[in-house]
Amino acid sequence: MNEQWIDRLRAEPVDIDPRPGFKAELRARIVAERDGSTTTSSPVANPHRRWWLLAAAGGCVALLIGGLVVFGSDDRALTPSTVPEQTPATTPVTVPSTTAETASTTVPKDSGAPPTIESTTDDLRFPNPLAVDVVAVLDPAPLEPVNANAATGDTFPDIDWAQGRNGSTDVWVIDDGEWAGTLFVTDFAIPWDIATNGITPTRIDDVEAVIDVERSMVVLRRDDGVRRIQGGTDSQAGGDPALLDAATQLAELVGIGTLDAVLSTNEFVPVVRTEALSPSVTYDFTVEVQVVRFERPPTINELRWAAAMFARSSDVEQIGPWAFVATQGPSRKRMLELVSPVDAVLIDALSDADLDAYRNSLQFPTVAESGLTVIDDRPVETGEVVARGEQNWGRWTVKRSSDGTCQSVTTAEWTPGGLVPYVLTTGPTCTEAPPTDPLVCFTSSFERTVVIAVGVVASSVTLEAQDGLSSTGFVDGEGGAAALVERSSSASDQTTVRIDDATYSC
Amino acid sequence: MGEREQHDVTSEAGLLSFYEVAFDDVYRSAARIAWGNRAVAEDLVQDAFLRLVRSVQSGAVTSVGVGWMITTVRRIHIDGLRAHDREQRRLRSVSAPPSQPPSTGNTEIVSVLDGLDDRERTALILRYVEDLSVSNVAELMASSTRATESLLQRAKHKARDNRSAS
Repeated sequence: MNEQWIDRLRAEPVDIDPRPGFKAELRARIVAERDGSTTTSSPVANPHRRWWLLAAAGGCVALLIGGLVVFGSDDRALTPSTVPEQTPATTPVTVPSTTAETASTTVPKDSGAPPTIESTTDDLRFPNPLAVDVVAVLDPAPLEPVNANAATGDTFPDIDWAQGRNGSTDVWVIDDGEWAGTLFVTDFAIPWDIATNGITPTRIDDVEAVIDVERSMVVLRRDDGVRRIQGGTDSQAGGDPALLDAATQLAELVGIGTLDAVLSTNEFVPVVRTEALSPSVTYDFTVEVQVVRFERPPTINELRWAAAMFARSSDVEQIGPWAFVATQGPSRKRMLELVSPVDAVLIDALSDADLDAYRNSLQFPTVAESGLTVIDDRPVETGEVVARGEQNWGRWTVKRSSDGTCQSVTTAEWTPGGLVPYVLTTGPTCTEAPPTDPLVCFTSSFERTVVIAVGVVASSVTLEAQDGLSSTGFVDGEGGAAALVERSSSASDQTTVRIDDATYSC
Repeated sequence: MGEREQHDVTSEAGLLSFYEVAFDDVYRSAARIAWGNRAVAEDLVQDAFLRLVRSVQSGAVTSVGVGWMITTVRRIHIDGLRAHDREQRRLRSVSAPPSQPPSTGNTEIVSVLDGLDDRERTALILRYVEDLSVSNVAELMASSTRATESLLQRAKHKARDNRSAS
């Protein structure tokens, strides 16, 4: 698939200068703000408004007009048309009793802060895990319209390898019993010399390391790549000193070895993983309700820490035996209530929403009983990996559907100085009939094309020489062979390959 | 200037010195994510610097680098998009027309992007112009990795279709 428009997007100049005087006005505004002579954040000196605010303001007028039109033309508009006609069942749907052992698991003690409200498993809404076709709804619906989207779940099971990851563990950082952040520990296959190209390394104990203050991240050298210990994610960058300290401490404790020895201490606790179980139901797109499933029954403090992690906030309050509310920024809050030994309901709402009322109106019908139409816009699962390989430039993976008509390709390229691989995926693309051509070409940038010969060994493949083309040469993987082809700007877009006696182009 | 270089911003002189050295990079980043809309870019830059001032006043920040400012710009933009998105969905339920940000260019790529909705456009810019990983885009957009992959795929397909049609 030709992705060269992405290169054009990258290269597109966005040459707009600020209007004359803007920089000086803002400088004055900063001084005034710092001196306390302004008290609001509205742009006084710069009366711009973002387009979305303009659009929203205009839209409010449209809402009023539209509302009047709807009201005047059709009284039924006053009756929400999207409320499920079927009354949601009030009886919980549970899985067969074979899972009861999980349900009756005793909640272990842990080292967190003592709960403010006593919690026992008797306080849970359901003694057994919920069925997989259950959905959490608010009845009556507090707002309209009501929409449901399929649970996104985890990424495909083979995606880690395809993206250059050899393993990952998430760790809660606990400070005096309270959640202080999350460390993401990931081992990448990217060779150390490439990952740290242009970066001066340091050492942590005896291990070569890079400390990235801006991303609260420590990267350690491993024999098979690098280990990244990151406080938060890139988007939370800004150099959180506490998380960088925690990342450094964990790096000192564990190095490049297994994390088992240092986890479950008072300071580092493995994250109890969750995945979305039910469709996500939104009300007016301002309230969102979803069931998530824990990998095992969480303790009360693990539930508290999970609530904090979901909201990325240590501002957490217990509001029920198994329920916590975390403030998420100035405008939103999230409630997490454990309703079965392993299932919790997440309610994401505006900060002034009545979460108690929402909690009291929670119902758990099956999707069919709910009357909801669930929109499933998840990416299509292509099928099985038919070929994959690792070379000195990165990894490549080809997946095909069982009938061979749909195909997707993922490449993870080792980026010099990037500390992590550069990952691109294309597809799935589908054809009426399975491809007869063994050649798969994947243009990851204007200069680089990964050429994969599926079902072919490297010794039978040759790249036809062309001016401006250079290649790593074909190297065998599992189920095929691949080469990275680099082209100069003057080279032809076409790549021609001979496989045995046949010629193929892409 | 390196994005990782830290500047002491506790004094007014330090803050203004940082403002002078960081302004161009921060503005460029804002202009990219705002896709050439000057008014949006200026608002983003202003909000980001004022947020910095308040963070310094509260004692939460004493030193800062350009990277922190760029991340702040991205977050402010996406928070704004999210609020706008909610509002637009509400308005669309009573047949209000969807809005488009004003475009400042006439190039083929700009027209391709103008055919995308706000989230799609922002995801593409973060992924392919800002070079963030999918997981980082997901984190910024408060979405799962899988949903973000889906969003990017949709956006790419739509962009390609737009390009073919143009």
